[in-house]
Amino acid sequence: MFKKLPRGWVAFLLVFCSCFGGGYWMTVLVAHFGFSVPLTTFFLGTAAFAAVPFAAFTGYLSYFWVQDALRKRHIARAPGSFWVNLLTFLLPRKVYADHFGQTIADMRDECAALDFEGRKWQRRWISLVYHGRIVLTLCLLIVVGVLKKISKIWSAI
Amino acid sequence: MTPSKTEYLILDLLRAGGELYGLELVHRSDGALKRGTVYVTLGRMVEKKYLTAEEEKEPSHPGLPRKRYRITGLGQAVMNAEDARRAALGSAGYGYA
Repeated sequence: MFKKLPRGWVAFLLVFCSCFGGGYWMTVLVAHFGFSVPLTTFFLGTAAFAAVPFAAFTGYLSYFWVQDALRKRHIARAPGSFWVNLLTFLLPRKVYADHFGQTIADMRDECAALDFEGRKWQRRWISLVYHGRIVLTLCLLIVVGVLKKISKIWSAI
Repeated sequence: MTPSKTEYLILDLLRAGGELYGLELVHRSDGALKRGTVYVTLGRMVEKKYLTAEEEKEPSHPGLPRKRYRITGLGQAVMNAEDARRAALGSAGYGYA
């Protein structure tokens, strides 16, 4: 529920209200006992009342921010997702499925297996190899496509 | 109709009648098949109708259905013919490397 509230605004309003509310009550209390109320009393009261909720809310919010940060550290993008996004956008479905789909599926399988075994460096190496292979395939696909076009134009002349 | 060495190996791995995908074939070949070339060979074999390729109904990864390869009747016949040829060469003393 808390996540849906604009945390910044809630914190700001609470701190603002507690500061001035605190200052006001401090002034009223001091005046009630018959003392003169200089302006500094208002500010000191404000500061005193502000400190506790401010610290509490800062701690509360930073707890959530830390939680979020920790959660983000654990959510990783699937290997090859960059290529899936790019290639499915650029290429027709059939070309993608014929030339890249199986390679990316293999990459995910192997990376997942190596992650599970905790072999980080081998996983990085395998990932690099697959990225290289995808780039090479893409380059060859472009070169072959261009050559096919040229040969078509050449035969039409 | 004589299959290449790689094609024969793939047919041999699929001979039992199972369905395998590219990476499984690579793992089961003990390094004889390479990750970079297996799909080209498999594609060629599908074109020659030695194999059929079917996409998984329920992909293991979202959006990435695996193609599972199965040997066809023609593939089986080619395999048998190649086995017979190798046996004949072996019995004639030529031995098949």
